[in-house]
Amino acid sequence: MNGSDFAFLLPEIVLVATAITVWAVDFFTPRDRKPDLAWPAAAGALVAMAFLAISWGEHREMFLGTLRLDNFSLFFRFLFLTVAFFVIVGSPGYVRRKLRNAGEFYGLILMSTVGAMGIVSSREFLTAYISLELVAFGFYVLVSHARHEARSNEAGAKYLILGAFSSGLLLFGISLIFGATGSTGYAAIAAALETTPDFGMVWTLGVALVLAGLGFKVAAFPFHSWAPDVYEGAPLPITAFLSVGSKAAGFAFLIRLFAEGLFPVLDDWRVAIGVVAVLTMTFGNLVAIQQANLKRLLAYSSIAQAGYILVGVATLNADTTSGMLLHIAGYTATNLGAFLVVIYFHNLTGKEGIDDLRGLYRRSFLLTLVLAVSLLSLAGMPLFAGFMTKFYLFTAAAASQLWWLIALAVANSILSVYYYLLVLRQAFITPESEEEEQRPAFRLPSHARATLSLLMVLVLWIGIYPSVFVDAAEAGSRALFGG
Amino acid sequence: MNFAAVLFYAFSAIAIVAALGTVLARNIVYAALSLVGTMVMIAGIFFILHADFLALVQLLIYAGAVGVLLIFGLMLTNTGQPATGPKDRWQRPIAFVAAMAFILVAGYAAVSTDWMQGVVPQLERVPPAVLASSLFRNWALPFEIASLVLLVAMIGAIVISRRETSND
Amino acid sequence: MIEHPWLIPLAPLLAFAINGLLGPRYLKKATGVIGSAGILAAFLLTVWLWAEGEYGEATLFEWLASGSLAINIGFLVDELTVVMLLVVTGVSFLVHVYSIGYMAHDGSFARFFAWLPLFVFSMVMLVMANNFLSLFVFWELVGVCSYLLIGFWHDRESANNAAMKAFLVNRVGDFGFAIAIFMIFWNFRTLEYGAVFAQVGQADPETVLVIALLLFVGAMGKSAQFPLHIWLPDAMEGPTPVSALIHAATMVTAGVYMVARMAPIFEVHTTALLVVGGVGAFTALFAATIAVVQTDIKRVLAYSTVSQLGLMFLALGAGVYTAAIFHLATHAFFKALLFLGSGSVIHAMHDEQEMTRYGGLRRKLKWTYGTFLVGGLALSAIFPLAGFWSKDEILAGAFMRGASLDGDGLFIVFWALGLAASLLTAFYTFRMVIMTFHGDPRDAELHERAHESPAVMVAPLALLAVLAMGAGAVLGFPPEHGLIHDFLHHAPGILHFELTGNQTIIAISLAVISTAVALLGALGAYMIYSRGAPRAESIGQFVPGMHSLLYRKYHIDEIVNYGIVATTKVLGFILWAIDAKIVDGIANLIGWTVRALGGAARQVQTGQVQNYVFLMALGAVVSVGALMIFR
Repeated sequence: MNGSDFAFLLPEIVLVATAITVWAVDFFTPRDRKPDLAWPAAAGALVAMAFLAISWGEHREMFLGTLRLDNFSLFFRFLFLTVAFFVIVGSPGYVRRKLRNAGEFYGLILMSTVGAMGIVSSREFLTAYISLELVAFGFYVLVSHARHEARSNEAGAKYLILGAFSSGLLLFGISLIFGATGSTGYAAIAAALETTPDFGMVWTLGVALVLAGLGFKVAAFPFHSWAPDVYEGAPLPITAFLSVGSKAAGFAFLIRLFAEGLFPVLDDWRVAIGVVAVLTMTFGNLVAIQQANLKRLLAYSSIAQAGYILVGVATLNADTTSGMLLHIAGYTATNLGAFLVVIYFHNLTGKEGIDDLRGLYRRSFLLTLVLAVSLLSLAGMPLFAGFMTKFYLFTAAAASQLWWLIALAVANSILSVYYYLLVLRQAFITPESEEEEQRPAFRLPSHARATLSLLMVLVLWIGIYPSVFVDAAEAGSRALFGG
Repeated sequence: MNFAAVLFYAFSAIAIVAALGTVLARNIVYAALSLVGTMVMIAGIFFILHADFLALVQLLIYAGAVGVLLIFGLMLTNTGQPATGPKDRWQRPIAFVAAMAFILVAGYAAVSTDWMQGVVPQLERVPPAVLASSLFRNWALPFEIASLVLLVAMIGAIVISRRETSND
Repeated sequence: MIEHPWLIPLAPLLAFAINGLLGPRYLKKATGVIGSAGILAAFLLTVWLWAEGEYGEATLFEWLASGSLAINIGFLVDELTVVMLLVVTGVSFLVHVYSIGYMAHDGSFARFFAWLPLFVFSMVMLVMANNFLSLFVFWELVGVCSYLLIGFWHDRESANNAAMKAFLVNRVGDFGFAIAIFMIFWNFRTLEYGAVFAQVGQADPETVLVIALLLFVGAMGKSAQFPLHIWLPDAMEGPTPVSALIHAATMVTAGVYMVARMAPIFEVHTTALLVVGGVGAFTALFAATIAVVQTDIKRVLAYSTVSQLGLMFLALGAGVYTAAIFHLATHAFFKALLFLGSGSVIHAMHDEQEMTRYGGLRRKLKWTYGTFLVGGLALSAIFPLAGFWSKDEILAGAFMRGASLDGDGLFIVFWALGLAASLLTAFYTFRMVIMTFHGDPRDAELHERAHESPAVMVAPLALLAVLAMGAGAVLGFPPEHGLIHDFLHHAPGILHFELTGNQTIIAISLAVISTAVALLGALGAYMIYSRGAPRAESIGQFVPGMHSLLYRKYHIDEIVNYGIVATTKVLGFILWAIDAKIVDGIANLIGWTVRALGGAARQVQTGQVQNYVFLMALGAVVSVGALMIFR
């Protein structure tokens, strides 16, 4: 550990500095210009990305192995920065209409991102846990940021209470694991497991509690109940952030933990995680069919998506890890696209019901196009990211021979197309009434058009020619599994 | 049973009772005081475990600073009326059942486990200098992240409590 | 040409891109010409490819070179591909030309001519794929295009529903297909046809059987075999040229093609072939019985397609792959002809599709009548039209398979089912022809305004009529040694049927039997619908409820609607209610019990957060408990 190693933490340092700068500048910014603080915040994320790009391929262990900067962490750090960038860039219009305290809003997004970046690099429970708390604290405030909206406040309170409860489960689980193995470091835990394969009941309880705590973060059944309420109540950009950033952070935690710490005992847990995966996706998909509100629909759909990723955790090996990284990347681009459409639509109309999409095709071709691409990708249609990444993931998962799991996952994925099509149908094809015919076309700001197009290109890129992304995902996977 | 064990069980019992008081008290000041009580007892447990520094910090910060801050906050904001609102008395039985089930499971796990199997670290007094160097070298990172968490919490507190000048 | 097979799909893709991007605003009516030109180019390139006669595999580029999943994008061009390409592009071209006339007054002309070439492109790519992933991708894309085209008139609720139904039923089939692909990859570590086929011989036959059956589920969805046939009759909600395209050239033939292509996988285990043949034979008869009583002209044709596809699967099951592909080709000609002909009638009758309002049209629509009659004769398999040759081969193949020593006796039953289907086919075909073109007009006003379609619509009809008349004899004579047999003989994986001397006599007698049966069916239709003796109503009274059962298509739609769709929805609703309410509900119930026991009546109010925490705690306790018990 020497000073130059800190250079590898520059992305995080830049984000923290940007956040503090944004908070400071906020004081001197007139109220009507505050939403525009998004641009310096987004620029900070871009600079951090540039620093990250420089360190591509470099491996570093820091703080006695507490922190490991490898391709796995690079992959996720890049992902989180991308998410932060898009969420921030997608926010100003919404912030202007709905939120106060714009500076704090953007800064907190950056801070949560720092937390997420900490999680993926941690090879030790406490560092990962405290990073998770950094993510969560940011979200507690962000979810209830629309203070004059009862729904937002309620969502914030719910998220806080349930989040604290899940943190309790997680911490208790960590303490039990520490009690059994005498360490909180993943490598030491794995070593202890090699010598002592069975620590008895307390071990089972500890791992189960850790899984429950992380199950909350990724909104897996039966720890999902907060998600629909919080997704619906939170400010839209934060819902988007939750559905991709927070979820991806939870999965990064899970994957590194299982790959580096619990891998020796993973076989005991495969079926249990598989059952949770199936319940999660089936539940999410079935309930999504009933929804009339776009945010709630996307909430349940993202619960279902977490189920697909859990298939990868249940069948964890080097290939499924690549599959999960790839799927998370594709899902992130896709879901961001879907949410940005909802955000811009909401900015222009103040509505978020599925029925309200009627005739969108006539009013904004771009919004309809991006919505179509995103939803078809979520539904797993070929040519879009969702098909390619799921195909890769399930193909890799087939090696586990858990055919029931794969069959149910495929069935879920194939039938989920139904409710996505119902949404699309409203946008494209439901006939308009005379009065609706008269409504003017939408005018989107140019930055909105740019981000939407960018995300759409990403989704198609991953869907049609994913080589670059596959290479990155496999590099990330190799960092954990060697080879 | 040696003296340390007796103390441990005593502290633990009081801590649990005080924690229950925090949750169950209908007067919020009592709840806050109970919380302070729990913190003090936990400090006591730290002492037994030879974690002197941690115990002192626990006393100073949680029992002292946080507790005082909490009570001051309550005094400044409390309208003087005990909390009213729905009394979810009927929820207590299920909460009780759920909690008991969890305690049973956890208790069974604790009892049935051979704790000496794992690598049990020797308990010895750690001088503050060693602790400090460990904290600021090897564990500097979680320490720094914790400071960020506090920063975020502070900003969050400001955002949530800031008086809004409504313009719509 | 073999070095550049990608030129063939490129042509329709370009047509799609040009029409899609520039069509609605700039090109407008020109899109029709561009679309047709794109397909014609693909057809001509295929002819070139065929004329050169050099086949093989061409790798276009390395698509994925990852550690576990390495896939090259390439094209497989062999005899089977060429036959499929000729049929697909040829018939599609005629449909495109016809559409210029048929869709002339439609407001979304340009959109139509964007989707149509995309549909053809997907089908061409599907046929040319050399690995399972490409096959699946374009398999799905064909489904998407069908969704777009069936739901083309999206201001019609019925069109929307039909499109959704087609898509979802196909997805059910895709489920099997997808699992099959995962199993293939897991067992053979590759997704390329050649490498997989090379290994199936050594693999565990049971595993290969499962793979074959799962693949067949996919084929059943796409090719509308019972019970996944329900989408096809509804698919006629799209514009009639789309129906012609779906029923004749693209989409439904994909399943037949796929099974033929995967022959090495199906051949491993005779059970797979038995299932394919059985489902095919059953569907052939099943759909034919429904077609007998339908009064919507397109619906009759739709069920006829389902029935004919069943015959093709019967052929595949019997191992006479050549006959299946032969019938696929002749069927494409005469079914496209019949659909386009029916479109011409519908066009003339101002969008009326009920045959009960037709009648006596033969004088007004001379060309349409003539060509339609040719199509009908071909469909009924009357000597010497196209349908006769191919259908006869299928039935003969099934019979021989059943009669031969190593064959399965069940195929004799399948042959009988196929024969019964032939009888009904001739019956409903002539019923349709008579009700539409003969007798007196049933709706004088409609009849008065009826007019022959423009040349751009009639010309494709005439061409298709020529094909429906001559293609069978040209390609299939002498039986088993016709052009198509010798051609497909070279295709890898396709078994050839060699007849011995004795079998030739059997084959001729079988041909006589099936022709006699077809004539009998036609005669029956003539007696009932032209002579009126015996009357249709009086026959219907023989078995009470029979007509209604057939007319309602054995209530399959209702069963699916109430049995599956409604169940899923209800389940979803219940789960949703559980999520939103049950935790509160449990709490309320317990609270109520406690209150009842304690006799204290208090206001019950639920705080959701507590209940969520409760659910989470319960989840944690239950899962931990379960883990502790089961470990």
